[in-house]
Amino acid sequence: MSLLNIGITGLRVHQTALAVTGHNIANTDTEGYSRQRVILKPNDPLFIGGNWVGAGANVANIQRIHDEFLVTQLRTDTSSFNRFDTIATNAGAINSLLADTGTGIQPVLESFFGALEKVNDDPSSTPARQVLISEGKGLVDRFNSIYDRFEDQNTIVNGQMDVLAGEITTLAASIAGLNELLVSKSSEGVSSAPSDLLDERDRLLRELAEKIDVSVSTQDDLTINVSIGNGQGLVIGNEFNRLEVGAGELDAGRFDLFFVKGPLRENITSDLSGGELGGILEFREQVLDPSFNQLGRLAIVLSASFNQQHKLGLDLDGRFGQNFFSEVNSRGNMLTRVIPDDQNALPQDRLVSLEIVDVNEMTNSEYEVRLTGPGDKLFKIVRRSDGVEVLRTALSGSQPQSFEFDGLKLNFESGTFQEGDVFLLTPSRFGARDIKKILSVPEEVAVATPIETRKSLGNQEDSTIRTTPITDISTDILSTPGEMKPPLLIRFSTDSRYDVLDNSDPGNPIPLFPPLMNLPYAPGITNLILPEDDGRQAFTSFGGVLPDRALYQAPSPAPTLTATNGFFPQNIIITRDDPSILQSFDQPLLGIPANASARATADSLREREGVDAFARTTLQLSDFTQDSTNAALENTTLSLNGVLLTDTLSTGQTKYDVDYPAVVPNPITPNFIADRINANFDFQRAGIIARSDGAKVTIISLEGDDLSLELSGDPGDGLKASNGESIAVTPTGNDAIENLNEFEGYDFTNGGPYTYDFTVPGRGAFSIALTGNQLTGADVLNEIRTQIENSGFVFRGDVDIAISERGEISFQERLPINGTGPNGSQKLTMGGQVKVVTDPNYRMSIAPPGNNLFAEEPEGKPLYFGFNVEIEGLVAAGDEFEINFNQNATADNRNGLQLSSLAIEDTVNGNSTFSESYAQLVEEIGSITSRSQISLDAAETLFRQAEQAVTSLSGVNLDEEAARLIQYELGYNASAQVISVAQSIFDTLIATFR
Amino acid sequence: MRISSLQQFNLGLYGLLDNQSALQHSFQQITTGRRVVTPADDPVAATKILQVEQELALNEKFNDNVDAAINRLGLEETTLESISDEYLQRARELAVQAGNGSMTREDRTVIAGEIDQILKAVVDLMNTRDAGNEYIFSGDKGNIQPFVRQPNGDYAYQGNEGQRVLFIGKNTSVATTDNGKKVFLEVRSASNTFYTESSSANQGQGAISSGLVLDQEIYDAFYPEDIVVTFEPEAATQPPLPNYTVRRKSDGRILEGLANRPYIPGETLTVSGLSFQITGIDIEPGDQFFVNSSEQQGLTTTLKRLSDGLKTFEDTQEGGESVKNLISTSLLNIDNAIASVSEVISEIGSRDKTLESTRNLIQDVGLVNQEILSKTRDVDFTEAISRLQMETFLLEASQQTYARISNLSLFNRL
Repeated sequence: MSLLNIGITGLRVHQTALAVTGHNIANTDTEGYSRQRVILKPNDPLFIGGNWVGAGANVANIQRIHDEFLVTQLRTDTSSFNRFDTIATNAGAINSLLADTGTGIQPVLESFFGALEKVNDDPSSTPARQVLISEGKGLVDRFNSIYDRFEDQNTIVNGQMDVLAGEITTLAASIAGLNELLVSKSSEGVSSAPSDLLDERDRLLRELAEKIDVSVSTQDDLTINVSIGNGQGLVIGNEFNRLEVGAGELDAGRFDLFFVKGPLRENITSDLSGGELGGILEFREQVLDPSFNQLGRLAIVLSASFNQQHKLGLDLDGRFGQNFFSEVNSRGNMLTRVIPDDQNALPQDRLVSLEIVDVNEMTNSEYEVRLTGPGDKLFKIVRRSDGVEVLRTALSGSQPQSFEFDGLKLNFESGTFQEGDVFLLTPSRFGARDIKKILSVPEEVAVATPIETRKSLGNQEDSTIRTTPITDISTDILSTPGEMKPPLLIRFSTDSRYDVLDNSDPGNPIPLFPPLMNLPYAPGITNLILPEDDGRQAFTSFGGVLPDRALYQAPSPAPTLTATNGFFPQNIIITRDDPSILQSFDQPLLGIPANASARATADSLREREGVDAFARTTLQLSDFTQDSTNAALENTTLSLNGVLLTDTLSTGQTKYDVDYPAVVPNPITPNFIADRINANFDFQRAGIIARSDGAKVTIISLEGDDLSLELSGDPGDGLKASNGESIAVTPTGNDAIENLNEFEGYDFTNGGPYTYDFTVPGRGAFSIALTGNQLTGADVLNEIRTQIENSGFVFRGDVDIAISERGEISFQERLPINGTGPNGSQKLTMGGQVKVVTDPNYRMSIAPPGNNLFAEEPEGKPLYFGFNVEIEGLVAAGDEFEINFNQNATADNRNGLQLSSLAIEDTVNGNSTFSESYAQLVEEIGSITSRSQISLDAAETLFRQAEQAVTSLSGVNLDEEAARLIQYELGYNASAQVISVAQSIFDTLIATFR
Repeated sequence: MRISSLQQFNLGLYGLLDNQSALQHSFQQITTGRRVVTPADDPVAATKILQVEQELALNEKFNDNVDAAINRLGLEETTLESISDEYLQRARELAVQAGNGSMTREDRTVIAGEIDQILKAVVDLMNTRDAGNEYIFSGDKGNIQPFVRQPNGDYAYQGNEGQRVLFIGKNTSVATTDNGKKVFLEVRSASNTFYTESSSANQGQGAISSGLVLDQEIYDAFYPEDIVVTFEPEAATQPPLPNYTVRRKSDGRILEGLANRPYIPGETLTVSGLSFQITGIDIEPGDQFFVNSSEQQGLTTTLKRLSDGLKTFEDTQEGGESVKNLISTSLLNIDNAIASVSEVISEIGSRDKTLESTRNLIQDVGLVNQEILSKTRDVDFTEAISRLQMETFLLEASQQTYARISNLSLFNRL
């Protein structure tokens, strides 16, 4: 090897080295560029003359300064930096939206309830009401506009996902292309791979890592495989697969990501993480969706609870309030809350709706309903927020069918439900969109309460009455607009007992049905006067039976007979329903023997679990007659329950109170009977009282004992007995032109038709029509009697028709009982009425058939009126309180106060107020934002460190390159000198031979 | 450690950016005056801020309510003071004057005239309206005049027993009205008395006068029973005429044989020691009038009965006795009325007191909350400005260093 050649190799390697240095300098600022270094090595030496002689140098390798470990690290850190960056940016936007006074809910919520307070101060002021309505509109608008912003954000998320999926696919294509290029370059037998291509591929990988977490594996042939998610191969050698977005599987509005490999399309949304895409998905899952749901729930709880309370109030015109905000459970809302999976098998005919039944129990979560199979009936409901299975049961196969959980009610309305069906339930997602204001007329703001109480001015003692908040206006008593049906009268019978009466006619208050009589009152505490809303129901028996005739008791020595009350035996069933397991448990049959007194029946019922029972017996006597011609023959005697009422006693008697009527009148009068009974010590002890209005005497056993009457006297001495029940004959045709009365005739051919209905407990409903021109009052009564006789109604004894002062017809069955002369007496025993009160989840039924004690299907009536009143203080017998509909209550703000206390009650989830619930949302979003901000800072530091590490190793240092430039230039110059020396040697040699 | 040129530049750049962002944050804090600019700055503080702000808004609401209540109660108090101090005192003087034995019926009639005037003036005050044109003494029925003159010259209460309440704290409320019934009607009577009313179910237009106790002894024996006068169908009498029956309310017994009595409008009906009149021409069968026993006698009834009595009773021995009785019961009743009104006035006084102390409490709590709010939300300017200076200094330093370092290159020496 000649010196020349050696010099040439020197020139050549230094040229290359300078070129590499130049390349480095040129690429100082190229992203992802790894600096290159020339590795020189001496040429193989030649063995010349027994010595190894060097043969110059050559370029062994252009080395790419690179550390795969650092690059991988950088890629990972890039991914996580971008992930947190995306979350922090997006969450920050929502964060400031919610917390800003100009855009958040808090300020409008405050002004809304502030405006309500102005109405409460001055309820009749229309401007104050107008302001409330405007503020309500402001509140609703704010909810709607935040929802719109959320929805925009969702659209942006969908768009970003679309763009990112596209970019990821493009990058995958480029990487696959580079793989192919690298294989072709290296397969040309070149020792090393083109380092710039590798740099380019690393750069693309890093770009990919910005979008999503990737895992990279290098193959033997320099190609790499890239996978995402759960190992889905995005790039395999020179092949690549696609990532695409599409409508969400459970919710079309929320896009899902699909991995597309040839004909296969797989939803991998839940597998993806990291990078911008992972950040977006996390943002959607942790911030956006919860925000939708929490804000929605707040809107729903607010509007539902406000509406509910508002509807319990009265507006300025005395009508019940309407919804203030739009109805939460409108048909449309109930249907949009259920999103069927589009993969559900055909036919698409299923109709499912979701009703919110208890806003206070609502969670923020969405739910998934899956018909798990086997079969088309089994299904489960899973709460998505915590994955808890809230319900697992089966459809019955016949729709509609409903299931309740978490304050929600899922209605399977119709359609073919099949195994594999999936439904997404979004109870609160659309709440903030669907809240609307509907009240627009200021007068319709309902801040008054429909109940007014009135303490009688005649009360002896000082006591106060108050209404408690109304909870239900759908009860019978409140369901007639603008009135209370019936108005109530609370009357104290002693200083510790009271009755609640029907006060429709203030001159003649009558017991309610079911009756509320003789209830205990305690002075010194606040007494709730009416039944509470506790689910108790009352079942009432028919009452006393009037026999066909009185029982004849032959004179002694004939055996003593006992008249019975005529009740048939009956078997009563008490049932307990257990709603939690949808099962009912019957208690053993309760056999009521024939002729049991109402008191005995009540006593045996009271022993049963879940049941209370009360009894009361009424016997009414009237039309007392005295046989004037035979008066001398036989004295009339009358005894009640073995106590003779017609005795004449000497002074110093111990049977009656001192002021008892001592003289027995002839004929006996109702007043006399009443006064004697009330004065008798036995009856006072037994709780038997009597009231007389001069024409008839009503004897009442407050404990429900049987009332047995025994009468003796002349055949002309007698009375009429009844069970005290008046049957109302109610018109179904036209009203009479003038009110009917008992004194004048009426021409039924004029006007009409005069048709009437009446219902006799236990014996059915009957109809009659009155006809003909009846000339006198007696004729009218006769016509009524005839028609009742012809109606098919079989009565005992007599019917006694009465026409009230207002022309209302009623009748009573009355049994005439007359003396039988000196021989024996007549006996009659009247049974009583039983009221059975069942506890919540208990009910009463009858082993068929029904008879004269209870109807075959006794109907339970709730005891609760929908409201209650409290009385406190001392009371005296005769004290009265009226409860009426609150007419003209323009200055009343009681319902307004209830509305305003909604703002400070824990209405949301039972533990937070509206404001607190909103503050929770703000805090949650705030801490997510803050957490991702902190994570972002950490990730950024790591990312920078990794970047430093990589650039530290692979980056170009210009000073270094400058030094190399000088170094290689010197080498080049020296090599040139070598050539020059070789040339001068050669010249010298030539010159020698010349 | 090896440093690449890119790294060198980046390091400088990152430093600049970090300093700028810190500076920006401090700047934002200083310009807004808030330490917590977005909730993410301090989520816990942000929630606290929302809570305190809500608390403040609530407090303001309560403060407004306190003001409103004070205004309302002020009007009521003035009205009641005027009734009691001006008019009732004068009525009392007149009653004493009328009790002078030398007075003749004519003299008494003159005094009765002045009492009538007082009655009118008092009723005007009892029908006082507030700025919103709402009657202040009619309970819930703000646009119904509470005391309306009846055809028989008496005044009937048309309001109800509603009492308006305002919240002045989360669990504290204060009554801002008193109904006329409580103030003017529920006045303890000197002796057993009664009040009359028409049934709310009446269909006709009949009215019943407030009546007089003619014989206290007979009435005391009957007391506390109530009386019902029911109009019966005309056909119950021969010839058919409007007629009525008088019953005892508790059991429906006919009193003193007064069954199907022909109705003569304005005729004085005497029963159980009481006398009263029923007037009106179109009374329907079934209409009822109640004469209810009571230990209370309304203010207007007291004045009306006093005036009626002074006008009615003759200058006879018997009349003199009646006048004496009338004056003594009337004086007691007027005193009771003054006591009832004064009781309400003092109640208002104690409410005012509650309101004042609540207002103070609200203001104190408001101040504390403001302070908490300021501590949690607001920036500490001293700290922030010195921080800003520090950050400015850092930024300037890093800018200078950056420029210095970027000038260092071997190429400059080539």
